[in-house]
Amino acid sequence: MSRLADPSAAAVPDDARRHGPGRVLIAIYGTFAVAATARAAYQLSTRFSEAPVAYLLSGFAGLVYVLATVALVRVGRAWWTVAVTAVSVELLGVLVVGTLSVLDRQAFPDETVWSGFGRGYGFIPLALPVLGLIWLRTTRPVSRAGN
Amino acid sequence: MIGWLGTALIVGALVVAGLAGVSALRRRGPYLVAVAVAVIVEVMLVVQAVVAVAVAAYGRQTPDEPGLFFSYLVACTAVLPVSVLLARAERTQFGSLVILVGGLVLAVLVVRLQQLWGVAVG
Repeated sequence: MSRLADPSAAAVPDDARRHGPGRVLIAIYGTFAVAATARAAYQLSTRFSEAPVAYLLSGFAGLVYVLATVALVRVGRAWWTVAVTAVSVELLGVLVVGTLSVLDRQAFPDETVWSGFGRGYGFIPLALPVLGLIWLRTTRPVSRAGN
Repeated sequence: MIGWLGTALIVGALVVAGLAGVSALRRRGPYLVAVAVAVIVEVMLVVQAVVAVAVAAYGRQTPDEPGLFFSYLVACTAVLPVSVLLARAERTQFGSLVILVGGLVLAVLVVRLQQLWGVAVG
């Protein structure tokens, strides 16, 4: 299946986000979107009462990953802004939840994706938003005055 | 779970990841052989899935948490096809990296699958 246009020739900044390194990010974000959402859905439906805060947080994390994945795939300035927002929330989430889970283990009786700065997932949840923000900065859509 | 097949799946997934890693280091798109191994692994996965469903259906042995087990099974069979599709339009080292990620994710998923089946597997 060949592309209509050679991506390297067409320097359209609009869809640059999903090519090259962006595609790898999309693959990883997609994995976390499915994993975190499915895990949270399972936790919430089977044992919500055991650790409501942790499981709701799992669900929130899942939604953030879904939104980030969709925004990375979609083309356009508006989606770029959505992507930056989602990835920033993700970074904030992993930092806040990571810190809280280390300081106060009682508050998080069960693991979430972001517990211990994503220790259960090889710290990928900590690295991912940083890489995401760097990539989004590189692919920031130019205003019409740009080249 | 067929014990040896589970092990073969993990090895196969890691071979796919390894081959993709080599092509990524050489700044190339995924080698055809990596995709070929991915197809073989996928066929083995489907066989494993059918056997697991059949064994569970006849009540010979059911996993501890069937819902979770079969969700993982579906996720496992989706990983490589989605990775190959994502990599297809990207004939650069980044296409290789997508396959690399897919292989690693699959290996982890198969390990979880074995744990969920709840047997000591060889």
